[in-house]
Amino acid sequence: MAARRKIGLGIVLGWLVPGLGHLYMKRHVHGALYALCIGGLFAAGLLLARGTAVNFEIHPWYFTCQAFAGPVTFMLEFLRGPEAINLGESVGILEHQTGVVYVATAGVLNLVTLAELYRRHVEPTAPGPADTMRKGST
Amino acid sequence: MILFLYFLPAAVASGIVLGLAGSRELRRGLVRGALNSVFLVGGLVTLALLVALAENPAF
Repeated sequence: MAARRKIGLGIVLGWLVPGLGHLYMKRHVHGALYALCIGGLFAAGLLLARGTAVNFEIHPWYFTCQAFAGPVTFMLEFLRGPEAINLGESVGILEHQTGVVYVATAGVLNLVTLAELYRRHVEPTAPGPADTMRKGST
Repeated sequence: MILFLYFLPAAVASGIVLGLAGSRELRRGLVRGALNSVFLVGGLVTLALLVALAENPAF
């Protein structure tokens, strides 16, 4: 059944909401775990940095990674105010940096899950990197 | 030291996701994810110890 589903739509759904693409492709446990880990990491980053984790002006490369976590990144960039962050006053430098890295990590991990979703669709029985050290896996 | 502790949850989540994505079977992916998490956390702890030693050799 999974093979009949459209992989393009699955990847778009997976970008819109981490894990949703896997749910659409009937891989419910993977989808739920990905949603929990990636969504949790994204939310934790935002909370830790008190909403300053997404900022294209001062972190353009991090923003590029964060964009893979979904349109919510663009929404946060659009909604943020034009005022300066005032690091060390309204938010700690360590908390800000950690939050930025958390959200960027969530984006990169979502990209990995989308690549995995595509590969499992094209080659359902192909061994993954974690399977190659097992006897008879290739 | 605190700097590295901040990244522990990210290391655990990253390990699980990479383990799941890298395996064909769910159960094996979870085991591999747990192992990845242990390795990543171990790397963070090692870095924290190295930094602590560099800052204070008598540590």
